Amino acid sequence: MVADVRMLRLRVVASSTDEADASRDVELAHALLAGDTDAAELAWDRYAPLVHGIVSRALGPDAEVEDVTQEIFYRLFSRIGTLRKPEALRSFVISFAVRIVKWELRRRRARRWLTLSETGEVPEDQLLVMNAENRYALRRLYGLLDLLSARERLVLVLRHIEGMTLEEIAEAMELSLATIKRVLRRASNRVSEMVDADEELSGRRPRVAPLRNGKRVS
Amino acid sequence: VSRTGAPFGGDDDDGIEPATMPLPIPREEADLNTPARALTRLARASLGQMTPAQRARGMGAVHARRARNRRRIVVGIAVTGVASAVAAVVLVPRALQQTQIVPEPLAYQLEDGALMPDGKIRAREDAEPALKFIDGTVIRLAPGSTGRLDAVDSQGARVSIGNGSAHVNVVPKPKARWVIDAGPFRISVHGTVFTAAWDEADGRLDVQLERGLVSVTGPVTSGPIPVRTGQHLTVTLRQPRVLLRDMDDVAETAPPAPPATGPAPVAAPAAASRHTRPARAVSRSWSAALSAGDFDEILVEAEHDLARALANRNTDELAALADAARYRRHDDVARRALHAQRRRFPGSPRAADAAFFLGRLDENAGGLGRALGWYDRYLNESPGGSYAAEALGRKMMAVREVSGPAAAREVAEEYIRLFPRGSYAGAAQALRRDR
Repeated sequence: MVADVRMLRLRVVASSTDEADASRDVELAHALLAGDTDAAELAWDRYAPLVHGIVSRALGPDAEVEDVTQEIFYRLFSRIGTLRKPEALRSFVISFAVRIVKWELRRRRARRWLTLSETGEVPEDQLLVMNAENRYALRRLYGLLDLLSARERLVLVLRHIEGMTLEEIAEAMELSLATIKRVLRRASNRVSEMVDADEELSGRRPRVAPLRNGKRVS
Repeated sequence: VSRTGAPFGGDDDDGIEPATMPLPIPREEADLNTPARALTRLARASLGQMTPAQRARGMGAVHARRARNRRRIVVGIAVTGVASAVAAVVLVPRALQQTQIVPEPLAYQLEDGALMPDGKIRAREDAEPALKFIDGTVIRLAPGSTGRLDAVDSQGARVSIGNGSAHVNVVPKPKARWVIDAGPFRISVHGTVFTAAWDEADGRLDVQLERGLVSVTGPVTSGPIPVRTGQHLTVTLRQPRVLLRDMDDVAETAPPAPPATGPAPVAAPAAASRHTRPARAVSRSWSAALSAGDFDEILVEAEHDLARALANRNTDELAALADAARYRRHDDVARRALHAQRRRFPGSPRAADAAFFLGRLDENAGGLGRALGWYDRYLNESPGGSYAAEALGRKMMAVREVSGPAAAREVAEEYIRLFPRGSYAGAAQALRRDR
């Protein structure tokens, strides 16, 4: 891996986390459009954690997160020629990720309907790093999210879990701002209601001894 | 769900009543009720982290799939050709075979060990498993070391050392791509013989170059560090430091093995400076000199007229000078270069990075209070910057030293929230537990 000057320059591009500096994205986008094989690796280095985060939080701690992330980049590199604005590389990547995640959610939903074997439950082994209580809570949450449509689920996840702005979500999902607001309101209300109705979740309290007459009882 | 709306109880829950003051609710969560909000926070904090292994595996898999697809396209073209011209039935596949776009991965075999389905190398008892590639390259793990073969393509392979050391002999070849991952460090190989050792428990990397050139990147290195023939690079994470010395000096000043006491940070650079080389007759850019590992060349040239260099050199060169001075422990020069960077290029990413490095210099010199100020400044100026995790981790440790564990706990909480798998996560967890 000879670190020639160009490579070094691109490495700098890829290692930057300063989103405000759009010129670095432009340089990377041009390298990708030119078919530079190193650029693909640099784009992966730069955007894989972002895409992995979106996929993981949208699908839940699923064993297929890694595969879906790879699928997104595979398609992204194949369709990089459709990138019209090199300065919008980040939005392009997010938009790609969102589209494929939506497709994946619909596929999983269909598979749940068609097969009896797949429960849609979160695989246990992915959650072993958490304590049992949190593990259980996350499984219940994603079980409830399975009841939403793919669009509602994505909007809710991108907004409430991923922390994207409404404008970013609208751009990524190619929907109007008004639609995003409407879908988000509906999804938020539904999830709030479902969590409230779920005795296991709404009845949960931290492991703290209760107070009675100002004194803690065991 | 707690009344604070915090995520569900953690492992360290000790039965203490949480604070009843409600936390401010971020704007994006305003339309969820409290239990749902706590769940989404839990999901945000728990999911989405990508491990280095996943990053390494993923790119290899995408590459391989693209290569397969290219092959499929080539075959498709061949089939079309066959249909349109019978004469091409014989000729096209031959031509394609000769001009195959994607060459096959290098053939290899593993001696004295077994390769697991996930690429892990399992050694036979007390043996030194060796990966032997068809181009003559050999990567041999030391007894007791753990390693994994992450990817192989036509130009090289990617191998990681989980813990222990490996002797690597890469046969030089045009366009070769060999990468050794040692813990969080990446060693890019350019045709060489070297030994790399990663001590996971102590967070210490050692690279000894017998022949050739490698470059090392990872935490603490602030960019690629070239290591050349006869040099020994040591990087420690617990007390972040980078030492690049001649191997003879290492033998004189520090025994190779136990990292517990750490390398000799002062003596070794002093020894290395004995080999100071004069500036070359034809000057080249300092960035290029830094990439080539010629730190002394930069320092000699800069110190010839330091004031002028600090006033006239561009931002890249000032950064190169600061790096070279830090690697050679010319702290005064490094400080002046970093201050010049901030004064002359305010608001730039390099100016923010300079704040972090000034903090490091102050911390190394024992000025923890001043270091804290610089870390805060860096985190304010560049909250998502490359050194954010380290700056916050160092801040946590410095606060603990200056104001005690109770004060550091708040920083520890923030660190765990932002960097749950960062280098200081263990220390942060320990602080949180020691209530």
